[in-house]
Amino acid sequence: MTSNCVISNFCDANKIFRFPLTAIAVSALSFLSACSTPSAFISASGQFQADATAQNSTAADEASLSGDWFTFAPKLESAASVENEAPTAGFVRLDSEASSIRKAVLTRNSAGEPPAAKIVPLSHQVARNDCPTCFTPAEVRIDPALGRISPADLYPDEYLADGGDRRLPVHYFAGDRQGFDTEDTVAEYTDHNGKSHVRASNRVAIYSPRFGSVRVIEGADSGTQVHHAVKTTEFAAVGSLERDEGIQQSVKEDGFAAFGSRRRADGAEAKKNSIHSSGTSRLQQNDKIDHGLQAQATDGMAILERQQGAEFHQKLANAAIWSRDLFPKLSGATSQATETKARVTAHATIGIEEKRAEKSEIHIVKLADRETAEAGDIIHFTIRFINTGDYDLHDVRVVDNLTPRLHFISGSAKTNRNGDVLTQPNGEGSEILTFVLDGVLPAHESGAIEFDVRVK
Amino acid sequence: MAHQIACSLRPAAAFLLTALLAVSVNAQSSDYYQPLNQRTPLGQTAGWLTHVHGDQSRWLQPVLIEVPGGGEVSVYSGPGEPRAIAASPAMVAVNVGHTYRLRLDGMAEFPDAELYPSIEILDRLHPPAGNENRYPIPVPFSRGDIQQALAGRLVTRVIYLEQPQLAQQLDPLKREIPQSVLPSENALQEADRLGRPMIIVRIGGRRPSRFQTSSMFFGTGGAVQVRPGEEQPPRVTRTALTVR
Repeated sequence: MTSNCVISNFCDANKIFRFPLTAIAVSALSFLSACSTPSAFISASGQFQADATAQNSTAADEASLSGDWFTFAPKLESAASVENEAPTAGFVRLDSEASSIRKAVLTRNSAGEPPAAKIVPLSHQVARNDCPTCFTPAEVRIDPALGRISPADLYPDEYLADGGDRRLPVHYFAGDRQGFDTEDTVAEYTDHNGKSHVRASNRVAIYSPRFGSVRVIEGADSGTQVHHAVKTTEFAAVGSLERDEGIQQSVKEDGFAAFGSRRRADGAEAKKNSIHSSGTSRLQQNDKIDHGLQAQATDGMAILERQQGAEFHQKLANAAIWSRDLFPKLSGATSQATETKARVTAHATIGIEEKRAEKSEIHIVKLADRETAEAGDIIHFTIRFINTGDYDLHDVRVVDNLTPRLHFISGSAKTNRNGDVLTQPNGEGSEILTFVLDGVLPAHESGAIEFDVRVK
Repeated sequence: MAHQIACSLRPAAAFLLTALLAVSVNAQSSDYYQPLNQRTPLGQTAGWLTHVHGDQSRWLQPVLIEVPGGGEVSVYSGPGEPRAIAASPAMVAVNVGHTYRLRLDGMAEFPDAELYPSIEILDRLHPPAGNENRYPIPVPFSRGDIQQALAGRLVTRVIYLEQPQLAQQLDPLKREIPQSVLPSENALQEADRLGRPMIIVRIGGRRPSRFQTSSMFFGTGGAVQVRPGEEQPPRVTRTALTVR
């Protein structure tokens, strides 16, 4: 049961939670009304909402991965929408034994039984018929708790990954884009309300290991020779290592500004503020429970989420059980000297009924035309995006920060919508591609961008 | 007066603080103890890592051995006759966690030379099924390495798997970008910092003697399989999306 329909009924929660008494009273009413409208994520108006989760289509093929890795560009007979296509990422060809194990696990789960505690060990190999001493390199690992784990997740240093949103989520702070790391591919747009959004694509993994070596020469007269102790820090691009170890990067990642931005843009951070933890452990709380009362105090802005709502409801139910003769009541407490006045009047609201109900957002999918590559090979990437809602989207841009081992082939970019392609160095040996679309992206329309890169 | 002194000391204080922060950052990257190095007895590093990774005896890791100008590569995994003989570039599949002895002779650029380098297999790759022979771990012997070994020195190379996010502009192995450390430093630790150590190659002038050489000189008994002329699986390519 959800008890957080209160939030959805009011567009601007900031106004509500400025007055805790109002919030508590409204929450209590929501429990009593037992409405089931799902809670809405509330964000401060005028700020970017950074959605770090990748947008993935559900893979219908059992041979596909968990949904975050796409390496094949499926053949489309027609211009199907991104939502309708099912990228069949046959990234790892499962042998029959692995497939049977996975099916067994799924069957048990669907029957309600606990998942089988059976993991295909990484060292377990299946001999090929044509080579008794050869074994299939790696199977998809199945973990009862985590589900399918792809080899690209287990051995990321053997793969070239591009897409998604690595490390710090892409966000804007004081007008500057931050958290845009190599491999990141995001779509930026402005919705019909003037709010700007960022959406990350899925990640594409291509098997392409590369090796280096560190040499040391020892001998009787090695002390008399001049060996230039060349560290890799001297060879690697200044941007690559210093980005990972430099103070500047650390400051950016740990800076209050970045987290502050996240706290505004991401409701997940709100879970960690003191309101949630102190609300359940205060002596005041326990004391009121003993008296058959259930109270929850807030110190300021708070977001009543589904989980908290469920807990609140459970506590109320417990209080009712333990004090069934005392008729538990809900009360709100506030430490602020406030006076709330309300006046209920009968009035009629005249306006235009907005029949477009579905909010618009972009789903972006990145695909590659191969699953393995060697140095010198060319990879053809396709980025497809679609407006999934009923409103037009403005200022649409697709930005791709290539991983250092990929070099953009100039002149290879194509798009089926009017726009410009901009390239700029990313400071780590590769390029940042920016596709700026002209005009708007109408509702329920899609576009695609293709380009070629060379593997170094 | 005091104010002037304080103002004059401000830049120095800022510099000192910055230096301390830089030292602390660098210290964080190398403040762990690495018990293994290039001078660890032959086979010990691989043995330790086997305990860490678990038994991988059923997997044969392809290794590509290249000699400058061509030559013959013999692979020993124990005393006796070589388990495999192939012409350079020779691709053999070996067990992880074992050491092998190679014999390099018939080198066009060093016609009278005969070297017995060793390779210690530390880790394996996990390529997609059917592509294991396309991605062997390379073990190149450069002219400089062979010259140093023939001059009586010991050349140790730690071959590592490069981290994609820290990739260099040029291929560090094929383009022979010199990445050397002093003998007093830990090459294994440096390779671990750059990526994942895969193989330790030791090239020296030592030659086996019937009377003095221990049985472990020729290897620890791992499996060896030659992969000569295997038909490479076709590269998987798909037609790109037809974009309207």
